[in-house]
Amino acid sequence: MIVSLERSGGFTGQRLTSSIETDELSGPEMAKALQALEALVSAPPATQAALRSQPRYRLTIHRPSGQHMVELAESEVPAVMRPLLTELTRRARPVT
Amino acid sequence: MSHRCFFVPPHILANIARVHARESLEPSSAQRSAVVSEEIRRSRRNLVPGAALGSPEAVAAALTVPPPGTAGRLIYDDLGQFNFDVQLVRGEDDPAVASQSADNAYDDLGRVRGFYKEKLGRNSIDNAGLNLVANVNFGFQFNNAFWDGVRMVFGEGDGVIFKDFTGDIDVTGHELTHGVTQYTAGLNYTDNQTGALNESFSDMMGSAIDAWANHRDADTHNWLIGEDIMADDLYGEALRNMAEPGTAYDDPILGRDPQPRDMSGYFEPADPHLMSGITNRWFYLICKEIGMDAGTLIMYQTLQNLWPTAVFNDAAVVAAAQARILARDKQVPADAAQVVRSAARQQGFW
Repeated sequence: MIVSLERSGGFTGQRLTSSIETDELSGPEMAKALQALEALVSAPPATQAALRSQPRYRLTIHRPSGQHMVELAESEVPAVMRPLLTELTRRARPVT
Repeated sequence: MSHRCFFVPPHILANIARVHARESLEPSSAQRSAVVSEEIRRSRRNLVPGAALGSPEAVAAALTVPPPGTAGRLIYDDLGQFNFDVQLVRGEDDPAVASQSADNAYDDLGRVRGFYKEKLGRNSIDNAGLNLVANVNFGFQFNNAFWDGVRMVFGEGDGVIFKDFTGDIDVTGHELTHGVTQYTAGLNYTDNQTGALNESFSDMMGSAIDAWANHRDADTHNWLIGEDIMADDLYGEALRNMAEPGTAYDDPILGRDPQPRDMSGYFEPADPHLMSGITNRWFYLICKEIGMDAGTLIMYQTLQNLWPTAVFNDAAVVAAAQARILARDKQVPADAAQVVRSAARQQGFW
């Protein structure tokens, strides 16, 4: 499956996007990160209003059966998902 | 999504606040009750040094922890981790430390605190001496900065697009003003005019603080946001241009600045950082006409008298009303209200 990222917000307001085929990811840390993402998209939390000016991450899982999305403020990102976000951010490019 | 039921509907509170804002400098109880959330109050009470690490022993013995309510500064180094309040490195009145970013944050928090106190009579973010907490070196090559509701957080940048975010007072002024907005108008951070206003007030105050700290006025100020954190290969670019939205940057790495100059370019839904250019230029036009001090005072009073769902037209009406009150009290020029309306019309608010 494909996981895509759109990052925005914070001081810069800069919008970045990237995507990755999960087959390219390996290792137990990545497996846990993907599991955490699957759990979040199945029950997305509502971002508190006070957090919305923070950098935000919109993560989407793309499957043939459809897309599932979750949006997280920076302070809401679970530690277990950081490896996935770091890789997606490393690949991200500004939206021009 | 959680559902909250209010006895008095938000639109009625907004109307009461709107009427009161035309009559007085003081925020109405309707505005205050529409704004401060119980979550924020709980966060304030629970924020203590060392809490993130679970024990008082985590607080270095030689550092000063300012008492609550004294607008004291606490600087934490997150050591490249995606955690908050990792290591307290400097407290209020403590000497400079080896970390340049920690000292930059300490100094700029002081300047922002000083600006709000001396120029606007405000005692810290909440006007009740809220201690100012900053985290530097958050994350690894983190290309951003933010206010999270209780603290200011700075990344070190990746050196390709951005340098360390403690290197520009715009950043601290902008982000701490999100805190001021949180405790005053409570503007919803949504993808429409209200969110754009939230962003714009932060740019307005960030810019005013930058000018004040560097002894510039409306004519000598550069009106750029974030110019000092651009990486070396992007020298000369900036994140936003309040005088001419849409011209801050244009290069292969960042693309072209997409901010519209006025309402002819408005659309929604849109990221708040986009449409904030319209009201940023509104502020610029006002300051060029009546001076930075007068323009800033009017906008600060406006922020105190808006409400969570306010839009551009509301801001202009309240700003003109506040300008009249301030002019009556000889704090701004006599024609300030006309200047506010003229600039709003120039920007296409009506």
